[in-house]
Amino acid sequence: MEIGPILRAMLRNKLGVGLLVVEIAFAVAVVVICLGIVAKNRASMSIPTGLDERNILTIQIQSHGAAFDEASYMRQVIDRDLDTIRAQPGVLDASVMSPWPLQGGGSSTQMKPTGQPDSALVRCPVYRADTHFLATFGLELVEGRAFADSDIPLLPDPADDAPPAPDNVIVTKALADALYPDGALGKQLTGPGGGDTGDTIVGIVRYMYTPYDNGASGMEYRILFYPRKPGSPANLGYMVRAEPGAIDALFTGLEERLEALNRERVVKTVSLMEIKQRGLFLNLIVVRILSTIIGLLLFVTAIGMFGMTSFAVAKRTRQIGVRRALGARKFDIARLFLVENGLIAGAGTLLGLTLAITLNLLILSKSDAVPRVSAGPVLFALALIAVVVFLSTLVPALRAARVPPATASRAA
Amino acid sequence: MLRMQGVSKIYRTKFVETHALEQFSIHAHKGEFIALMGPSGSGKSTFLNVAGLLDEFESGSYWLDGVDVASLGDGQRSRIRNHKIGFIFQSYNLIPELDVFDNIDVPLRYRGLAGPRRKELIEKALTTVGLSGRMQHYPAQLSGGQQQRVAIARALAGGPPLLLADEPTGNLDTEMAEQIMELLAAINADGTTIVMVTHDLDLARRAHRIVHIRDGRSVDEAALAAVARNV
Ligand SMILES: Nc1ncnc2c1ncn2[C@@H]1O[C@H](COP(=O)(O)OP(=O)(O)O)[C@@H](O)[C@H]1O
Ligand SMILES: [Mg+2]
Repeated sequence: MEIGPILRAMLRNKLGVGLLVVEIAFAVAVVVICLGIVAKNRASMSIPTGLDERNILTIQIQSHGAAFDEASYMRQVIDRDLDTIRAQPGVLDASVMSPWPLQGGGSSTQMKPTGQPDSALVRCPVYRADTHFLATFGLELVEGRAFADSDIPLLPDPADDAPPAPDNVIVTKALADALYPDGALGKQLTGPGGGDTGDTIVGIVRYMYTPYDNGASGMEYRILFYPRKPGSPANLGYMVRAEPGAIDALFTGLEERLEALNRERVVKTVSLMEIKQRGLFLNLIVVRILSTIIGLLLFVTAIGMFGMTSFAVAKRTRQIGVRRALGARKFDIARLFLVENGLIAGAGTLLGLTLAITLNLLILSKSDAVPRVSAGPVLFALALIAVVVFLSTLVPALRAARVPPATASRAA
Repeated sequence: MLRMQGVSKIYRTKFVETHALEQFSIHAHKGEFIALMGPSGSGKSTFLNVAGLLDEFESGSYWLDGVDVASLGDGQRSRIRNHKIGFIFQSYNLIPELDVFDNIDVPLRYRGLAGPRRKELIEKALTTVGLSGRMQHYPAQLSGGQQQRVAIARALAGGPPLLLADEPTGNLDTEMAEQIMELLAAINADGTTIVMVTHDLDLARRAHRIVHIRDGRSVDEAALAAVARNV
């Protein structure tokens, strides 16, 4: 290899080489950082939810009649709806609940072991659901029991999030461990400022995940369920779990059945997968935008590399002829340009990585909005850059290899 | 050393065919110093290109150091250029971004020689051309005569049996040209075969033999004299 003379010759052209090194460094830094964020978002998009989400559809109902304003009437409507839904062929189970899981947000609260100071508070998403929700979601109970009819207050409370009487609640194992690492079943939890009374944990669910504020508060696995049959004229929500393969037939069938029950309502069915897509919308947008930026940047880098190398080949045509006359094979000529750009890319990559890591640490010291630079994205970025540099150099390098040796003897 | 028999070379462009060499024959013996003379456009450079395996030819035969080179592939031709031929060009053709040392190093690296051996050869070649002190200079920092001497050092460093020179003194003043000629004579005296193109008769006379070329054909001196008498 002729790295010595190549390096010495390149150092004679510090500006041109320097610009290319900086271009590569910039590309590497941006690609590494963006790839890290893309990887993080992709990872959170593929976290299992614990729900049988492919077989679940949601039903949203808006009611118009004056009678719906009355809680007892509402309660009757809900019970009749659910009976109707469960009686449909292809339906495994159905549950009334609020808000939707997986929609990316919802409602959250803070809870602490009863009797502890507020410093023990843990943030968690809250759902209100009936006795069927475990079976409807396909969630697995590891300890305790499901909600019984007796757990559900007779009438929905107007201020649902602050129940006056203590409830029996179900929590995920993650929330249980956060509150009571030594076993949570039968223990009590209380909201901020609460006194010595609290809600009792009667069931613990093995696992559930719901995307929430992009994971910023770390509560996406710590989920709390209150026993309720929530519903208002403006908004009533059911979840329906279908037998495998039966979901497609249920969409219109259920809408028609429920509208037939009461004409003063608008019924809308949406699959839980679609709700989940909405929940992951931000992640998806981030992935799409950053992937586009990465693609564009690599394209620009390739164009730059291709242009500079083509220019160098054109400028050094005579020298290429001379090298051929002195015994260089075509391969030696192509290698000359590949090694040159390889060295430039190597230097640029080192600089770019340093830049990316420094920047990353700087940002991390102020916030945790970006993921720490990790080996996976870095290696992927390096592979991308290597491929881009190689391909964009190869074309002009092969053109250089085809310069005829007789070029050496042409009049200057 | 170098034997061409009836070699023809045609340059084809869209509209014209130029018969740059036509039935050209020449035989340079080992150790000979031949001057090739001819008017501009007579095919001198074309001959050097073909002789130096820089270009292919249409017909005829060419043996170089006992090898029939007509059928060789690009890789083998590169190898022969590297091992057996030293080139000296009118415009020196040093690589501007390499210093004197690295310029002379170029063919030696393509030969795959180890570092210490290359250094030894480069130093020896530079001593021969009298430029030992200029190793770290870049071509732009040298005079024309010095650049040509570096080019000669590069051509002879690997000890090729054949030197091909295309008007090596064409860009130099008489005094510099004289130095170069003395250098070439000395290199030839050490056993290197030299074919030098020139149109300076004074310089050509320093060779063992002059071969004339006209319209791509070789003309021996007797025939030339006969032509001259008939005019
Ligand atoms: N690459 C080329 N393409 C087309 N014609 C060429 C080329 N090189 C040389 N010629 C033509 O071939 C003839 C011989 O050229 P050359 O060998 O350069 O002559 P000399 O070196 O004796 O001046 C000239 O007519 C020249 O125009
Ligand atoms: Mg010429």
